[in-house]
Amino acid sequence: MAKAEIGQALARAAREGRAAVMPFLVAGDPSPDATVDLAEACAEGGADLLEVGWPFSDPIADGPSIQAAAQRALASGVRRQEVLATCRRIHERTALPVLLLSYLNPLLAMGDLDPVAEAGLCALVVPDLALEEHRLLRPAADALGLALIPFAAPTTTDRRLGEIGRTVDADAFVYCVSVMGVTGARQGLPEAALPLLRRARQAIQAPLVLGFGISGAQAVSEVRHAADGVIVGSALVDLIEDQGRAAPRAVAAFVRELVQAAHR
Amino acid sequence: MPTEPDAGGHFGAFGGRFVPETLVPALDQLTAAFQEAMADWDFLGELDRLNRQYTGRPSLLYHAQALSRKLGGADLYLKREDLNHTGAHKINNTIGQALLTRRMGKRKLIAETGAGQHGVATATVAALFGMDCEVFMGEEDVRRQALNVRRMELLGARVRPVTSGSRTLKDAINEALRAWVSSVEDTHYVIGSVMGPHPFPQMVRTFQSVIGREARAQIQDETGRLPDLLVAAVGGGSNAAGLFHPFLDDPVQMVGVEAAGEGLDRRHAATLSRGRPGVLHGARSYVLQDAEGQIMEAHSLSAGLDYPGVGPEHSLWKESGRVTYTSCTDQEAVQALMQLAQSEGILCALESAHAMAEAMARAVELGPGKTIVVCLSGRGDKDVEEISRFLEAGRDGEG
Repeated sequence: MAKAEIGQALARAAREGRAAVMPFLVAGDPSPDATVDLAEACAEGGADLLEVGWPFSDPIADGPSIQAAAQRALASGVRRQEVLATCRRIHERTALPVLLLSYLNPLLAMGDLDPVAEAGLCALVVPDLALEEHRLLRPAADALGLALIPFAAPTTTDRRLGEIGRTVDADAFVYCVSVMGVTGARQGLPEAALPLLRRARQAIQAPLVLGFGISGAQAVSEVRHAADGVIVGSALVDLIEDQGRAAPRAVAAFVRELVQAAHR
Repeated sequence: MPTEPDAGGHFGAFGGRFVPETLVPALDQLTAAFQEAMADWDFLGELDRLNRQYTGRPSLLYHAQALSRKLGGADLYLKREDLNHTGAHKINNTIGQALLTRRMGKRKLIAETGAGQHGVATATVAALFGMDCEVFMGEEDVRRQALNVRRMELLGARVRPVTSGSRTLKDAINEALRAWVSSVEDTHYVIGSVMGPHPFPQMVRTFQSVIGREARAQIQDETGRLPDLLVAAVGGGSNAAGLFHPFLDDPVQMVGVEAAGEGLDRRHAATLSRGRPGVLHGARSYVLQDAEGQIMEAHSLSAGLDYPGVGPEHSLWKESGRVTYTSCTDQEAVQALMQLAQSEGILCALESAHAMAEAMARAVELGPGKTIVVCLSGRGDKDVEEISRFLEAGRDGEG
């Protein structure tokens, strides 16, 4: 089962005494080939898992950085075929578990999830799929061995955290949203992060991976004991836009810093 | 046919709640507050008082005799939502939601707006209830609805131009949703149509159903029987849902009119006619999308109809066949607007003109002795400049 890769990667990081590091890249920004190179740079920097975003026209959970990256990718002609081929190449070249972040509508438009599994992906992260609607994807995801990653947010009640904990796939994790808000690097660690992780730990057995608003090594260091993993997206997307051709080297160095900071 | 959604907000296969987790608790709170309020006589009494004393309800049902005679067909009755305070049906919904906001102990409102009518209606109730108000509006709509931008500002609201995507209503909703995720603990998002995540489609339709309840009583007082046909414009679909819902169990035909823009083979906003089921802005419904599920940009001269989605209950009514959906081009709408203006002395909004165009065509088809109720959802002052530009461009094209 593809999703077993996730549990293995999280367990390996734990054995090494650190939180797992999961960089996020937007497929096709600035180009599909570049995304594959950048993913390799993440692997070289020591990333444990990779999350790849499917550019969507109306990304309501994303702030300006990822919105702009998705717009650039779509404008350059990135379509479903490029997204899935990019994921497949990343999985082949890095041997890391690759999770697909996609808004729901592009997934529904496929009719079934077979192409996602065929691209070597191990999980779906769907920011506009509330727990109550998981049933729309659950049967297909289960049949294909894809994990369906649930979210927890600072506003999620303790009781609901418990419900979320009961829906997590055996090898997967709960995606804890560190901010009241959309994606985008924040100055310092968002203040809602640690309280959420503490509440979630009480209610949920599964690993907790923190994302949204994580800007760099300092923030990672502050949560390395409380979280089983961290997702860093917007900060990376900004770095890639800023660095142009030098991006792969800069990305490898940045991820290396994150991994260092994740050591307990 | 079920007339209310299930507990999860599903209208058959449509509706539901497709939002980031951060918003779910606020939607639960809103659902509970709405359900309690609807069973609370004090709340309903206050809503009714404001509807009468502030909005000026009941709105008139006007028999357009001159126009009907000219067409030589069925009798046209216009439900005059344009005569409401602020000039459109939107106030019916914003008063209800502002009362709920107060009930939930929140003090800040945000809203999206296309034509500006919902923005003005939200800014109005914010002023009335002493609440803070921020309105998200696509930059393209800020340009073409300048009058309403000024109105909102004079009412004390802040207008935030949205520069992403097509810079119209769809993008304003994206930005309002993002702002809400960041402020949900003290802020209520006043969605302006029967769209969005549960409970919005049901709640907005409930507040707008005052249109249909009044019309149903008024037409029977006037003619002694139910009408043969109801016609309303459909963008998100709130004035149509408000008119139609109280008649669902009656032997009355209903037609919703979407914006065909430049034509259905060109740029348009005919979501139910040309879209496919999908998920946009928190609900499953018909959506204008490409083969891979990317949302398409809609087009209509009417900013209020310029939207690639539609309320989920309309998707159910389309699939069940209870309501027929058709469309009307920019050109046809402008012609209908001028015909109504010059026959009856009523200058309606471009949105409402789409309903008028269809109603006039149906009046001729149905013939004398039949009656049609049309929702005249808003007044046309805001559209005067946009119509002038459209007519000028048409003349240039011919020249």
